[in-house]
Amino acid sequence: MKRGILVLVLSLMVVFPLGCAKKMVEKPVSVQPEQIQPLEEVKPPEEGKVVGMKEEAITEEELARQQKIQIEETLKEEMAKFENEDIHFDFDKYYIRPDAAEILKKKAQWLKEHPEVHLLIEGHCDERGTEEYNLALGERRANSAKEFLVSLGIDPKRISIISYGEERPVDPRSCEEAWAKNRRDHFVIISY
Amino acid sequence: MKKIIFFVILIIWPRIGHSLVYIDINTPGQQKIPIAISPFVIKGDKQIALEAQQIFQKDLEYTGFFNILSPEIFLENIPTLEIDFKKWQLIGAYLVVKGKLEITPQVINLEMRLYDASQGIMLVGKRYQGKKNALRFMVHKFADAMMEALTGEPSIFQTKIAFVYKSNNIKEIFVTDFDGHNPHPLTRFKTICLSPKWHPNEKKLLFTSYKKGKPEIYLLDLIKGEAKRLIYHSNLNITPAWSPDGNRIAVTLAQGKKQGIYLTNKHGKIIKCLVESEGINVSPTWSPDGKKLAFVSDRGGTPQIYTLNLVSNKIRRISFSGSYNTSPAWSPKGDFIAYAGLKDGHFQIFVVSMDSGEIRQLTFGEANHESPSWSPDGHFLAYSQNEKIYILRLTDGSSFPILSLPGGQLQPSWSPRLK
Repeated sequence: MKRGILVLVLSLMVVFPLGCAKKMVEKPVSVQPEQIQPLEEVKPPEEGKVVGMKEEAITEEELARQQKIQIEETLKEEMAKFENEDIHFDFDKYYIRPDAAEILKKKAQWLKEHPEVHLLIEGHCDERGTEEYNLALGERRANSAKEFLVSLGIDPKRISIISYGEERPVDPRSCEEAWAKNRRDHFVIISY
Repeated sequence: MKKIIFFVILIIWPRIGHSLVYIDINTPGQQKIPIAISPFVIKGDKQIALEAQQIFQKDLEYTGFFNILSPEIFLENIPTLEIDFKKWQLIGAYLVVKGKLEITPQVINLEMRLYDASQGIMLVGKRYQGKKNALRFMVHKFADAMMEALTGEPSIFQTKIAFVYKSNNIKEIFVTDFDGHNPHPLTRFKTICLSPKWHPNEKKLLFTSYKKGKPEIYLLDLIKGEAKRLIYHSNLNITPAWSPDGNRIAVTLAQGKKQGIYLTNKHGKIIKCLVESEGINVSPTWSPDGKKLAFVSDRGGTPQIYTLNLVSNKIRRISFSGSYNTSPAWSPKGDFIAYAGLKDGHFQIFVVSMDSGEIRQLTFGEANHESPSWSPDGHFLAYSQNEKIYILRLTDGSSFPILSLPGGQLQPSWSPRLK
């Protein structure tokens, strides 16, 4: 029975070109109303399926986007944490202190988990000492941290260094507290 | 402890008959030569004439060699180029300066004469002509000719001092006359510029700048008025120093794990590594014969001054007292190295004798004295004292500031005699 209707519909479609299908549909509906009903039943599942697929696709995209945002936010948080944690040095020294070693180990671990990250290590000094010597000292401080990270397995190509000597203190005061803060390596992520 | 006077500078008097007259200005109380500056003969603007006399008097005061007599005691006080030696001998003037200025709107004519009143002879006589803005230069030129006649070499009246001018986070290279006149910027990089170093005989400067991010060496040509990047081989390109012939440059670079002092040609191309280690090697300064370098290294555990013999490659430590000695500057005659050393919490300027190894402290007090730079005659050191430029006169150990600018002034570099 159904097949007969389908044949009829198809034959009607063949007889009546699509261009005027709307006009011609009315006649069969008025003549054979019971035959049109099943036709409508066939169509919705097909449409439903299409609609459903579309909805699914959008959700996946959104989900992916949200996940990406979340991953990026987490990465940004981690990067900010990475950048905000300086290591510090003793006066006129450039060896890695135990407290700095702990921080560098954490940084090395994170760098291993994020092999796409490239960084710049800035070496800084306190205002005591002479400008020229401090430029040289800042370079040694940045180099110490680089060598430490390299010894923990980080590719030296991922690490650039620069010395700012005593030119860029974080704390401009002239006291031991400020000097201790200023004798530092600062880490900047240059690409990820 | 009082400031130590130890630089023996002999003023060679002109030869009269068979005898040379020496005045040992090292002897306190006797060293200053009584000199009279007779009122100038003036035709034209009196204000300009007064200015010329003031410039000249300031030049004489700067040297510390003279006792400038008060005009109140002059017996010959009418402006004239004629001289009655008797009248100057009577008031104790050994030397007399006479001058004549003709000022027209277009041009200034200056004539100046130096007389030896005791011998009754003219030692120097010069005529200069120039525009109004050349007045200062003409006076300085005569002062140098006069010093050359008295000591055998010109003084520093035709020299300049480059320095770092600090304002907020910006440091630019500035320059001023030796006496602090006419300070003005040479760079407008709006970043960190450091360590200006004059070419040994040309109007050129090397300096370090972060203009392109990393500290790199720039060459500033004062005649062309342009700066170009010259040395940029590594993450660290700092503390340049011209060789005495101006053909080579010693500079600190960081290559691989090491930091060292490299030799480049005058275009910045590396010739070879002179000294290198995993420690600090910085601030080279050449001996005047070009055979040695002094530099700073921490190879002994603390920053100290070392010399490197460029022929034998032997390294010798020359600073032994104190835990922090930096900024060496080799004297123009090669006899001393000046440096900044930490003592009782402050940086002071010291000199070490290259003959005896004896070390002398030149500055005192609760201030930081840094970055010594020799005048070309070796009679003065420019340095920074709590971020102001001071001149230390080695003949009597006295010091004085030369600039009254806001902001900080650092790292003076004294020019050669400029033509």
